[in-house]
Amino acid sequence: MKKIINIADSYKICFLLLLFLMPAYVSGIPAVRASFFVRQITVMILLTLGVSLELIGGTFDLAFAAQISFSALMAMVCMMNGCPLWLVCIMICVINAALGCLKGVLLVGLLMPSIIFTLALQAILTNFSAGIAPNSGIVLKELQSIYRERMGMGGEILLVLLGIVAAFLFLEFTYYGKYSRMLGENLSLAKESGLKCMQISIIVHLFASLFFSSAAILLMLQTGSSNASLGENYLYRVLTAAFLGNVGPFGGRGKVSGMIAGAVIMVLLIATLTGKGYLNRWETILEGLIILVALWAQRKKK
Amino acid sequence: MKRELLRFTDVSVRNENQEQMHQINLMFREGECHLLWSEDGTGRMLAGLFKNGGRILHGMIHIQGREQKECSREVFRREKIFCVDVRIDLMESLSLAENMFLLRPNSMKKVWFNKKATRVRTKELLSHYGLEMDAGQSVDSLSEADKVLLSLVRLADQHAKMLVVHNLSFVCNRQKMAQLLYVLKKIKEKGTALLIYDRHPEFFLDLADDIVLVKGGTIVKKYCDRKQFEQHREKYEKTIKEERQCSAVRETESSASYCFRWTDRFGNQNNFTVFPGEILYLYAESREEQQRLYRDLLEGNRFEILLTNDTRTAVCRKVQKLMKYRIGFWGADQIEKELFHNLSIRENILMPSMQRISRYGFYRNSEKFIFSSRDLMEGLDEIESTGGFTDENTFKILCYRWKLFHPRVLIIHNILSRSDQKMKEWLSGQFLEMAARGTALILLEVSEETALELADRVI
Repeated sequence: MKKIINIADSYKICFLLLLFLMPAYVSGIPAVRASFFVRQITVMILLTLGVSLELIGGTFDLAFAAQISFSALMAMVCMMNGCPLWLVCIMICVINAALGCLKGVLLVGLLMPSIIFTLALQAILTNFSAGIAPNSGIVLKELQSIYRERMGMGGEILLVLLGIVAAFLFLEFTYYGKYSRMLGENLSLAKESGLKCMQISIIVHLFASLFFSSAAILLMLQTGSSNASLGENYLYRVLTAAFLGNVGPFGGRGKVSGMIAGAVIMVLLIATLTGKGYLNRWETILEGLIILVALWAQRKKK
Repeated sequence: MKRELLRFTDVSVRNENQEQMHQINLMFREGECHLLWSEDGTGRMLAGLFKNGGRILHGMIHIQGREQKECSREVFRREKIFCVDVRIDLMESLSLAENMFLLRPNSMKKVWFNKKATRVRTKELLSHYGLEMDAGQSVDSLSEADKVLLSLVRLADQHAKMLVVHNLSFVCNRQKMAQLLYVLKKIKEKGTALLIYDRHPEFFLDLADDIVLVKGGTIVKKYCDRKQFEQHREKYEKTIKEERQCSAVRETESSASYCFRWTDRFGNQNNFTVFPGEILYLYAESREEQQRLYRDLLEGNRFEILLTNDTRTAVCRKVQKLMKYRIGFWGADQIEKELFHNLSIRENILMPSMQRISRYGFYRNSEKFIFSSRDLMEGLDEIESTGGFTDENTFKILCYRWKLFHPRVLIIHNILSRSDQKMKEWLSGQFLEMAARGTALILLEVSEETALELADRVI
């Protein structure tokens, strides 16, 4: 009981929101299918885990959405030219891993400010993607049938569960998880203590890129298409979910349970707002407000 | 025979604050403990060398027989020579045991982290050094003294060859002091060399093999006999006491006065009065105590300054409004931040006075007039000819700035202590001039010798 109270105390904002949202969700939008919910929640959890891992390691990533759009788009281009699906999936992983390495090297090795760097990277990737594909993007309808036949809801849930277990093990039971917390909390002290900060940063970003790759593959298969703004909608949603889950923008802190709670709340919130017929801009305003409140609360706590 | 770890041969070294130590000859062997003490606070420079490094001007430093061309923190750390002071950084996102085992160079091949093993090992280690702490607890709940003890144990476990212990008595109460001495004794027995600098050397006399007396940035004497040192210290403390008593007698009644009142963090009420044209020295026993005094004074609760003259009394209740009442603060900690490098030297001097010279900021005509007064800034041409914001010029420009601003009260924090002998003399002259023009000066200085010479009153 004491443990439950402690958890509730740590994530009181999340629990409070859940309390209000669940009845609204259940009563308000019965038409929403379970498959929609699962699809949304899997992508959100994967992305929240990836972004939160980077946040814990001290990187405020604004480029992940552009990164998944870019990698999915490149994969679609290759598929149109006859590449098999498995090769395309590997390609998505390689692109995300390369971008993760770049982040690791530049952010910790050259001490570039993460917000500016990732913002620049986002601009480059978005415009590059827009350049190589038409505005409507590339559509391959057969991908959706492949997704339904081979993967389906069960496969998605399995993938997310694997991701959750991997993130939990990484953060709680590996040296690199602990190192990433150290990097995020106090980089200079970590360097002084003799840690190989750049290598650790690369590993953390590579690990996070696995989550981005999975999300990119899922999105590509679910929609059967890809365009320059495929991941755009997720940028603020995922950041909001991470902050709601008590993952600090000041690095070092955060738990997997919080990340999941944040992601679930965001999906419920979006589904409720959409179901009630509110426009997209209300969703964005709410996300912005939640980010501000969460930042304020965490700063106060610090 | 004890092995030699570190040797300073005729070393002259300058630290980042441009303070210089001359002709240091000192040898450290394993398991030996040197206690450092200085009346003028310059002993901290030698201890601080291990933390912040410095530039070797002359002489040689040998670490385990190898000559070192650099005298930096990284070099010392590489050779497992660590400095521990009261500012201990730990990772708050990790537990105590994790801090113990992760804040050190570890192999990148290790992947799985065994929480249980680290906790057991930490518990064992802590009990070996007589410390009762929970290995799984969070470090943000630890007291400063506990963090210091933890840090000492952590470094000892990393096989430190030498530890430089800097003013640790500042954070310790009687019980923690006993723990600290026990831990240091254990570390010494392990064969680690110790260099202790503390404003309360009496606590460490049992531990020390010899006592090194530093004065004016050089080693003047070594005491192997504890009694001789105690006699010397008694004599020094007597001088300070006498000076304080004389100052109390000298305090006169004046029509104008500035009374500072504040409540410190422990709820104690403090106050003192300073008179126009007076130089008051607020004596503190150590640099840390002085920092605390300074913080309490400027960040304390219920802060107020009563400015009294013949006709009226004004009350300033907010630290942020000090400048409005022409009460200035000049601190060594932020000396570099006070200069605007994108402005000229003259503009830098005029900066805070601008509002008073011309309400609308058009100060060009007044500027010519101000700078034509050679009495105010006799060395300005020299500064401009050398050009740039050198260390020496920085002090001079800021001093001229305050002279021109002509504050009612100027609080001076470690400006004299940070400057070299030549600059100290120059600044003393300028301060006396400012006092003669009616500015009350409050000195918060570590360098007692210069401050005592200059002060009209010590409290």
